[in-house]
Amino acid sequence: MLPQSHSSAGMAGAVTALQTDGSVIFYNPGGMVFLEKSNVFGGVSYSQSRIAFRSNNSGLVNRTESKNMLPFYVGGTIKLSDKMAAGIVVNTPFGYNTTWRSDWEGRYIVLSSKLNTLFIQPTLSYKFSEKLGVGAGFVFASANHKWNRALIVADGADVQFESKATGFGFNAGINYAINKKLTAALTYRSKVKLNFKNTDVTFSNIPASLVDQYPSSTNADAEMPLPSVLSIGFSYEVFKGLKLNFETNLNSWSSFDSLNYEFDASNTTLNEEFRQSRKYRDALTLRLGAMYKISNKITGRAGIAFDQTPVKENYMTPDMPDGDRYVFGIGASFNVSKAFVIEGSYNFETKAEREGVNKDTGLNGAFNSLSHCFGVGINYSF
Amino acid sequence: MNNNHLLKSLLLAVLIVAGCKPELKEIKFDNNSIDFSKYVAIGSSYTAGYQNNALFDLGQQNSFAAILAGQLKKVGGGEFLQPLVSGNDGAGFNFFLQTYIPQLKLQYGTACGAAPGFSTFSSNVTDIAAVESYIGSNVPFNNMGVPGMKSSDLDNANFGSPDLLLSKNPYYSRFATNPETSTVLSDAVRQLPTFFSFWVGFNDIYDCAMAGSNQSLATITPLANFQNNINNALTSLIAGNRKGVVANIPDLLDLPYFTSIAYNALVLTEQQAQDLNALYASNNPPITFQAGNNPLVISDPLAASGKRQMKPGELVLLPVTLDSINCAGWGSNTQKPLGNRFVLTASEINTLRNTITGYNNYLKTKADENNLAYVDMYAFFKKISSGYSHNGVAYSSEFLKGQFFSLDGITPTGRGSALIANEFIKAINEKYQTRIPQTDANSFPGILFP
Repeated sequence: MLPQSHSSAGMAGAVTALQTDGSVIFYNPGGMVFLEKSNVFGGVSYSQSRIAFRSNNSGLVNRTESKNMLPFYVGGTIKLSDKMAAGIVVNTPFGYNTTWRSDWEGRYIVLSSKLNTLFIQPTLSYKFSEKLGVGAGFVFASANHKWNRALIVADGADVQFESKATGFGFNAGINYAINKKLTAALTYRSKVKLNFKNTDVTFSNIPASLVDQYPSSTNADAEMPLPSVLSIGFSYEVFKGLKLNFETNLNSWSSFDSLNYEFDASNTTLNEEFRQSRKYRDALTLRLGAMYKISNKITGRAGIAFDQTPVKENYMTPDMPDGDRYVFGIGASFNVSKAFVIEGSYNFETKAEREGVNKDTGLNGAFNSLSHCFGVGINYSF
Repeated sequence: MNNNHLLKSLLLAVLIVAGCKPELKEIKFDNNSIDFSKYVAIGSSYTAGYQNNALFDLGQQNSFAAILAGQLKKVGGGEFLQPLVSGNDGAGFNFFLQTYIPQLKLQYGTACGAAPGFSTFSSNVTDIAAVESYIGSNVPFNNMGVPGMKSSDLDNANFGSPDLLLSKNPYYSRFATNPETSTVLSDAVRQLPTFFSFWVGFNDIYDCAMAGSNQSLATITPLANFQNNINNALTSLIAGNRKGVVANIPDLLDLPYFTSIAYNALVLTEQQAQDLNALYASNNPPITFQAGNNPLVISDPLAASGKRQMKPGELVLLPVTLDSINCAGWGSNTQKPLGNRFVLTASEINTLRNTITGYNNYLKTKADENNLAYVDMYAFFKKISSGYSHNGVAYSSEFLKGQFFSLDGITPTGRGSALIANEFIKAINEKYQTRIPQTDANSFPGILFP
């Protein structure tokens, strides 16, 4: 999951029980009502991932081409009354962009694959007391997915899938101040099922004798679930100026069993050929972050997270060959004025090399990847 | 700490990481002090690179032996000389009819009004000169694979005679160092190989199987003779404690030549079934047809009327072709029962399979006795039959679509050969604790669809 504000990214995503800026809409709708003012905010990041694969058969190392993503967020919160706040955020929480060389060993599995998501979340938050706030928002999601791979039937034969999807969900949270220093938060972001209806499937460079089997253009339907996330977090003010946040997220990826395409009635023989097992499992993330007010104008942030992978080792796929990852974040915000804050962050994700034989494709080897992401944002309160 | 300093630190961190690549442990390839500098391959069609019923340049370049030699080069292997046929027409040889045959090609089209489909046809060029021209010299070839070679041919000087009446096989005489004197075994041994592969016995059983167990065309090498021939050859080859790898014989149920046409491949309409029922009314045993799939009619001297329908488990051989069943009435017309040489009956299949088991038991014993690696091709072909994924490609023993077998339904494509070479490598690595890299089989030629 991509970070959705620079204040959170600077703390490796550990912000569920903090209410520092407008990004609280996404991380905990129950905390939004505790923002002292109304806010508008936005930001953009530059994210780059590189993946490497070592074949255990040939011993050769294949590397992805360097591809970038530009995750962004923009939103606002408004205090409707002392007890009620409303807000909306538009952001890009999920995505990847992977391109392998055209001659790499897994070219019959994936050549390039790209997923972009856009979430729009209008939200209301209500304060029961000075200690207890709740909030909930509706999530409208849209996504683009495009991928291709080579086909064994001829040199240069290729199939490309391109589709758009929409999906719905919700995001709810409770924020409870246990005492002056300690705050607890419980949030639940629901699963979002992306319905890729009418995926355009294009077969290219198919020998004439096989065009009935692989038509130049056809359609297929697929579904991809994005997981629900249940988070429990605590923030603690160690002393004036230093706050810690510790949280755990349960990511319910197990709903992602397979990516199957149901082709048009005339091409159902293709259903079996393009079946992809994923068999994801639920995964936990642990995050610890700290923010320290260095001066009246500057706040520094740092965080670390351990993000367990939902991908089993015998189901790693080259589009997103996940492994347990360690995330390190640093960031800072600078108060240009009382109302106007500029913030920046830098995130670094690293994994250990992970080896497996994919049960569908027989791809046998080890993956490793690392990514880094940095960017700037603003928050204006009034 | 001032603002500037913080920004500088942040920038520095970005720069450090921006240059980083994900790291992976490197695999070190290693011959574990096994000398692969002179690899010699002894075998038959698979070793030679016979494909699509013929021997031609591209098939030889993609023989499993050539692919294996290419991988051995990465751990100290040397040059691998092959007796290449010039050009890609080449010629095949029908060992039981003792005639040259053209290479098979693939076409797609409509035959006799049926739905369009694939069929093989014979190339109009048979380059006999390319196969008959003598290319031997005092320097023997590393690839001693001879299509059609049986275990009894290994040390038979007549096998290298240019006179086909003596050799019964054109493929060795063309590169024997001294035709009618040298033998496949003597040419192999005189090269002083440091490592050898030995895949012999295929034709001892499959000449007979491919002839439908018609004893007037080909017979099985009796187990005792096979054992004797193999023992003699291995004794010469391992002299001086040479290292090598021995492969066993695959099952006929895993070769599309024997499995791609079902015993009940005759598809009839209700009307066609009734018409045939009238024609066969007096046959003993009774022959009846119905709409849909029907067992093919074969000639069988044991049947009272000389004809009967096939039974489940019996096999139709690939050269029958679906077109001749669908378009020419073979296996249904009362005058065209499938002949004995085009089918295998249950008892014939039993005999063949029992012999394969006997051969393989002996090969395993000899490999173990002589400290040679043993590659279980019988088991590997079973894996191919049940579906085998390699780097995202699902290989199988299905004719054409499975990509493992060439158009003759017996020998592998380049991709199949590469997968076979990988199995040899796994067996060698396991036996000798070497680390020879495998190859990406998908990079080799497969079935060329029109």
